Amino acid sequence: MATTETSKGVGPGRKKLTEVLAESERLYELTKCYAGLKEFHYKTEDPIRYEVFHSKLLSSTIAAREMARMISGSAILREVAELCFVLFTAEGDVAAHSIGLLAHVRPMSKIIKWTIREDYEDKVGIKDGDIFEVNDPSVGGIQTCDVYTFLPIFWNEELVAWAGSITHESDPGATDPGGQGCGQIESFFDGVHEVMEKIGEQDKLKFDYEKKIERTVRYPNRWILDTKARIAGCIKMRDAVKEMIAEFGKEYYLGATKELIEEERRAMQARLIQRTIPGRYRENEFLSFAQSGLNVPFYAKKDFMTHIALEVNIDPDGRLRMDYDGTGSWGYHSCNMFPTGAEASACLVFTQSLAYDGRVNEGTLLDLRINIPRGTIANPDYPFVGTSCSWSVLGVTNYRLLNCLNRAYFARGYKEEIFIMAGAAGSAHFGGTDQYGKTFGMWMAECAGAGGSGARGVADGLDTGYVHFNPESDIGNAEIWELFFPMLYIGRRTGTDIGGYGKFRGANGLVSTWMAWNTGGLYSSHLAAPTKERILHGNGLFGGYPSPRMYSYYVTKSNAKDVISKRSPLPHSEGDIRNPDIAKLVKGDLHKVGTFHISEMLYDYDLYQFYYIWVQGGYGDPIERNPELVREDLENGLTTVETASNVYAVVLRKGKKGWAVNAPGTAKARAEVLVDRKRRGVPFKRWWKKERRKLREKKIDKMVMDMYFDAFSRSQKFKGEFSEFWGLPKDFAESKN
Amino acid sequence: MTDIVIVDEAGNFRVGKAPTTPNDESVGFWNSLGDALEGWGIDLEKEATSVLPKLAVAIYSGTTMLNTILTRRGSRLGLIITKGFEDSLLQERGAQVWTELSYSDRLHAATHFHEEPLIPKRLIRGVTERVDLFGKVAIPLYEAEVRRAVKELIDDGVEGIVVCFLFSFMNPVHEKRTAAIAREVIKTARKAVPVYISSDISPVMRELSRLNSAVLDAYAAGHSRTHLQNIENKLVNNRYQHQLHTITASGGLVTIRYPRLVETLVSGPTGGMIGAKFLGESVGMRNIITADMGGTSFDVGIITERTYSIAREVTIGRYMVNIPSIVMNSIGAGTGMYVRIDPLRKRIQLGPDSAQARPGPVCYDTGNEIPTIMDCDLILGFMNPDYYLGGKIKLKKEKSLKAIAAKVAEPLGIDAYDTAAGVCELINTRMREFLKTMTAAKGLTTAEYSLLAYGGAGPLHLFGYSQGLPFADIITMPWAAGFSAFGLSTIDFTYRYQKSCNLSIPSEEDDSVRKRTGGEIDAIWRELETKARKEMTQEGLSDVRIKRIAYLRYANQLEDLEVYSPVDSVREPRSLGALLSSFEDLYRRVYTTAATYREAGFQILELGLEATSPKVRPRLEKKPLGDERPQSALKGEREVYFQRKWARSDLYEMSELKPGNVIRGPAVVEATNTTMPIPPGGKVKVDEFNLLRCRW
Repeated sequence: MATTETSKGVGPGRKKLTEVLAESERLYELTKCYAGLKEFHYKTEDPIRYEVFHSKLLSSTIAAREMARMISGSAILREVAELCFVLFTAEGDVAAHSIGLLAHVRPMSKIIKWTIREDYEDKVGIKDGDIFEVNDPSVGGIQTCDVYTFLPIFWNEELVAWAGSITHESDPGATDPGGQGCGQIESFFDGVHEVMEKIGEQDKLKFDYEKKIERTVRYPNRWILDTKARIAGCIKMRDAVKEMIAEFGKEYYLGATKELIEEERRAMQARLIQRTIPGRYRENEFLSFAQSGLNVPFYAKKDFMTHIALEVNIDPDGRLRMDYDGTGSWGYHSCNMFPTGAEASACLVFTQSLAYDGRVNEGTLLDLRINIPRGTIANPDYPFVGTSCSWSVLGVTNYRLLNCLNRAYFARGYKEEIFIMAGAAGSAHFGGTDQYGKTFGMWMAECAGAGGSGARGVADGLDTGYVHFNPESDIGNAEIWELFFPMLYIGRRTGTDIGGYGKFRGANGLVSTWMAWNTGGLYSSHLAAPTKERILHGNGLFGGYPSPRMYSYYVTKSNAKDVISKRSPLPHSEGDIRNPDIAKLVKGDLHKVGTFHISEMLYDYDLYQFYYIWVQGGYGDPIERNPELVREDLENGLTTVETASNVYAVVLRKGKKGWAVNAPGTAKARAEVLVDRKRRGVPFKRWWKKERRKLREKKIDKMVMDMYFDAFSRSQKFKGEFSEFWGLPKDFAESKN
Repeated sequence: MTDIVIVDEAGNFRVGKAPTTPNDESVGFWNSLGDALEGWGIDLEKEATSVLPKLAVAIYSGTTMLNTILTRRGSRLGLIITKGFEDSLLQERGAQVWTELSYSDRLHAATHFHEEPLIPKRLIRGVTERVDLFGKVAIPLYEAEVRRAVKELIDDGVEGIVVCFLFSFMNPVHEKRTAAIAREVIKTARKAVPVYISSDISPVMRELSRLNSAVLDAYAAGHSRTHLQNIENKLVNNRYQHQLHTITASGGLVTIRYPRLVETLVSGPTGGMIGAKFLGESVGMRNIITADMGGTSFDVGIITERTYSIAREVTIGRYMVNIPSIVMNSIGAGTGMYVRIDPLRKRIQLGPDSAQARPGPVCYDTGNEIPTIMDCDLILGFMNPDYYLGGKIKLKKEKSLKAIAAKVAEPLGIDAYDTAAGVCELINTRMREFLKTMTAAKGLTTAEYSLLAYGGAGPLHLFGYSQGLPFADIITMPWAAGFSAFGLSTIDFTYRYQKSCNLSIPSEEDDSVRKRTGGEIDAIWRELETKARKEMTQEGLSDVRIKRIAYLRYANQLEDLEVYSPVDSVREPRSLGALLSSFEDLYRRVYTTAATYREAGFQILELGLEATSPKVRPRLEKKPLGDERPQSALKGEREVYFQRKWARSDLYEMSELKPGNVIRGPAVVEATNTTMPIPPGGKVKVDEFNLLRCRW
C-alpha cells in the first residue's frame, strides 16, 4: 500500500524505505558486517532449515528466467538467453539471482537504491502490483538497450522485497538501429529513455505505455512481448516469496536473507585469502577513437585516445579495492561508462572466477571499494554522455580485472583458475528494410558466444563458445538469425590465428559472411568499434600474444549475382589474409574497415564479412606449445603452416593422412628461437634510455601524448608516477607543447 | 541389466533380468527372456521353437546407439554441408560447451569445453548453395562441387555421407539433388556408401540441431541396427513370426527397420512415461506427474488428460538434437549424490557429482570415503543393510556412520543422525521445489494430479519430497524399480507426424480470414491423417485413433505451446476460436495473465497429428479389498530415525502386501530392490490393483 496518514512508510516495520536503507548502510559502516550482523542466528539455530530456505530463494529466480524465455519475442532472449532475474531485499540489496546477464545484477541494486533515495515512496507512490521500468544508464544501468523491470513485493502492506529482471532489447529506437552504435555520441541519440517509470499498475501494463512504445522503437511488438516476459517472471518470483513467507514467517524471511548476504561477504573474503596472494596488481588500457570518418556531429569528428588505468589491491584480510586513478576524460563518443559499470564488471568477474558456487548475492561485492575520479570516461561529470558502447570500457575492465586476479591466482598456485577473459565487444547492428518490407533494427546477437575466450592456464581458449557478459554463452542458429534480418549467411567459419598465440592460444572467433537478400536497402554499425581502430587490447599473459585488432569487409555494387550465375566461387571466409577471397572473388566497391558506420546502403547481392575478434590473448610462450596441438589446429584450419613454423617453431610434414609433427626438427627449431631471442634482446636499461629519449624529445605520436596529458589533467598521482618512472624533468608534465 | 517383461493375452505379466552383454546384446536379451519365462515354468532353451511362434509382438530398447556415441566407435563419415559452414561441428552450438554441467560449473567458465567432433574436418566438404527462409532458391546448387566432394570422400574411405544444407526443412531440393548425385558417383565407383540427408531425418528449423541429429543417426544407427538385427535373428531362428520393434523417444513403437533410428537414441526414460499413461488408463487417472528417482537424478514428467507433451529440441549426451522426445526434466538428486561440507562456509553441499555404481556409497566398502545420500538413508534405518538387492550386497552401516560423523556432522557441530536427517530433508526439498517449478512452468494445479513415484529410490524418499504438496493422490508400486521396462510393454502402436507451415491469425475476428486459415489448417491435418492411415494400414494396424495438434504462439514469439485441438475441424470461425481459446487458457496458466498478448495476433509454424492403434498389453488385475491388517507381510521391527527422533517401527515385506492392507507409520516396507519408509502420521493403503497409495 502507498504511504497513508496513519503509516509512516511502506518498508519493513512500516518504516520509510529511505530510513531502512540508511540504517542498513550505517550498520555496515559501523560494524563492517552486513546489517551489523556479527553472529548468525538462523543459520546456527537450524542449519538445515536455513539451507532449505536458500534453495527455495535461488530456485525461484531460475524458474522465473526459464519461463520468461518462452514468452519473449526476441531471438536475443530465446536463442542466446540475454536475460537475468533477481530478488532484492527491501533496501535493494541482492538476495539471489538466476544465471544469465550477470553484469546487471549489481546495477539493478543501484537502481532500487536510487529509487529509494529519490523518495519514490512519497513522490510517485509504491504499491502492490506496480510495475516500474528503467533503461537510463545514469540511474544505474549500462546502456539504453538494457531494459529493467521491477515489482515491489508486499506482505501485509509492508514492502519486504523487490523482484527485478533485465532483458537486452534488440532495438531501443536509437539513431543507430540496434541501439549500440558508435554514432550515438550523446544520450540524445539513444532512443527511448525511461527513468524508473511506473509503466503499469495491478500487474497490468498501462495503455499509454504501449502507445508510446509503438511510436518509439523499431520493433514495438517484440519490445512489448519482452516487457511482458520480464513482468511475468517477476510475478513468479513475487509469488514464490509470498509462499516462503507463509511457510517460514516474515521475520525468518527478512532475517535469513540478511544472514545469507553477510555469510557471502565473509565467504568472499575467505575465497580471496585462499586463492590469491595479497598485494597490488596493475593493468592499463589504451582506447583509440577514430571518429573523424564517422557520420557524427562536427564536435565529435576527431581521432583521439583515452587512457584507462586499473589498480587492484588485495588486502591480507581478503578485501579488494579497485582504483581507476590515472584514467582519462569522458568525451563525445559512445563509450563512456557510468560508475555502476565498474561494479557490473566486478560482478561478472567474481561470479565466473571466484564466487561460482551459486550463492552470489550482495555480499559478494559488499566489501569491494572502487575509486573512479570524477570527470573520467568511467565517471563522467556530464549527464548526457553517450553510453551506447559503454561495454568498450566495461569489457576491458573485465579483462584487466581478471588479469590482475589471474596473476594473483598464479602466485598462490591456482593455475587451473587462470582464465583470460574476452574483453571488449565487437558486434554488428543492422537497420533498414527487412525481408518482410518493414523497417527494422537489430543487434546481431550471435556475438553472445562468437568471440570465444582468451587462453586458460591449462588449456586453450574456448573457440566460438564464450562471451564475457554471459557464462551461458551461445552463438545460436543461422536459421534463427535469418528470420530477423534480410541477409543470407554464405559463411560462418572459425577464424584462423585470431585469438592470440601462446602455449595455450586464445580462442578463434567466428567469421560470418553475409549476402544482402530480399531487402529494400540495409545499413550497419558496429558496437565498440571506435575504440579498436588502432590498438591491440588484451595483451595475453605470461608471454602469450594479443589477438589482432578488429576489422571487417563490405562490398557494395557487388557482382555476386554474375558470379553465382557462372557457378564461380564466392567468398565464404577470409582465405589468405594477404589476398582475401572477398577481394579476389567478387568485384565491386570493397571496404576494409575497423571503425564501421556505413553511411551507404547495401542492396541484394552486396556482401558483408564480419570478424569476431574479441580481445582474447594467449597464455605462456608459444614455443612451449605442445606441437600436437599445433598440428590439430592446422588440420582444423585454425592456424597456418607459416604460423606453425614462424610462431610456434613446429616442423610439420604433410603425408597422405594429413599433417605429422617432426619432433627432432621441432626441438631444433625451438632451440634456434631461444638463441635468436638472446641475440636480439637488449638490457632493460638500454631500452628504457632509448624510449626515454623519444619521450623527452616529444618524438611520440601526438595522439598518444595528448592521451597522457589528458590523464595527467585528471590525476596528480598518475602524473607524478609517470614522470618519476621515466625520469622526466619536473616541468615536463606541465608543458604539453 | 537387461530387464524383460512378458505379457500374455490375458494381460498377465512376468519380469525377467539378466546382465547386459554389450558386445552382443542378443545374448543378454535371450538370457533375460529365459529368466522371465522361467516364472511361467517354461524352459526357453528347450521350448523356444514351440513358444516363440505364439509371440505376437517383441519390443527391445537398448543403449547400443548411445554407447557408440559416448565411446566414439561409430561409422567413419563424410559430411557435405552448405559452403561456409564446414566448421559447424567444431564450433558446435555455443550452449553445448556448458550444457549438462552443474549450476556452479555453468557459472565457472574455465571448466567449459567442446566435444571432439564425430566427423573430422578433413572429411567435411562445403558445397555452394543456398535456400532462403521462405524456401526459395537464392544460390543454385553447384553440382560440380558436389561430384568432386563425393569422389574425394569415397576415395578417403568413408562409410557413409551426411548432407545438411541451410533451410532444407523448408525446401529440400538441394539436399535431394545432392543425394542423387552422390548415389550416381558412388555407383560409378562401385562402392556401397549410404547417404543421409538432414531433411529426411529431422525436417525442422535450427540447422545445428538438425545437423547433430543427422550425424548421430548416420554415425551410430548402423551399430544399433546390427544388435537389433541379431536379436530379431535369434527370435526368428526360433520361429518367431514377426519383426522386432523398438521404441522412439516420443513414445512411438516402430520396427527396427525404421529409417530414423536416431529417434530411439534415448528411450529408457520414455518407458516410465508410457507405463504411467497406461497405469492412468487402467485405474482411471487422467492427470499424472511422474517422479523417477535413481542413483544420480530425479526425473519428472507430466501427463495431462492422458497425454504427454513432446519436445522438439533436446540435449542428449551434450548434443543438441531435433529429436521429438517425451518431455521430461531432470535435476541432480539421487541416492548416490555426495554429501560434503563447503570449507569456506561450513555449510552442507550436495553433489553435484555422484558416487555412481563404482565405487558406490561408503556402505559398499569399495573405496569411497565420502558419504552419500544412501549412507544417510542407511544410518537412519530407512534401509536394511542385510536386504539390499535381496541380501546380495551387505551394506556396512558402521562405515556410513563414521563417514557422516567425521566429514559432515563434526564440522557442523551437530549429531550425526540429525545431520543425516537434515541431508535427507535438504534433498527432499530440492526435489519438492523442482516438482513445484515443473508444475508451475506448465500452469498446472497439483491438486488435479496424481503423483506417481518409481525408480529404485522412488519409494525411498516419496514421503519426504511429497510432503506438503497438494496432490490428488500419491502412488507407488511394488515393481517401482522395474517400472520403466514394464512401461515399454504397455505401449500402443503410436505414430507421430509434423508439418511446418506459416499461418498468421490476426487478433481481429474477421470471419473470411479465419475461414481461410481454418481451411489451411484442416488441409494439413487431412494430409497428415491420410499419411498416417496409409502407413498404419500397410503395417496391418487397425482401429486407428487420431489426435490433432497445433503449435500456437502469439505473433513474433519464438516459442510455442503444444495444443491438442478440442475439435476435429477448424474450418468454421467458431471452431478456430475454440482452438485459440484452448491456447490462451493454457498460456494464461503457464505464463500468467500479465503475459497474454492477444493484440499481437496468433501464429502457427507447425501442425501435428498423433495416430494410435492398440496392441496386446499387460492387464492390471483388480482384486477385492481384503483385511486392513497386513499381518502376513509383517516381518519384524526396527528403530528408525523419523522426524529427528528414534521410533520403533514395524517392518513389512512389500511383496506380501495384499489389497486392502493399510500400514501406518512409523513403519518400513521392504522389497529386494527398493524400500519405503513411512514416517509417523503417514499412511499407505494397498488398493485393488496392488498400488501403494500414500497419505498423510
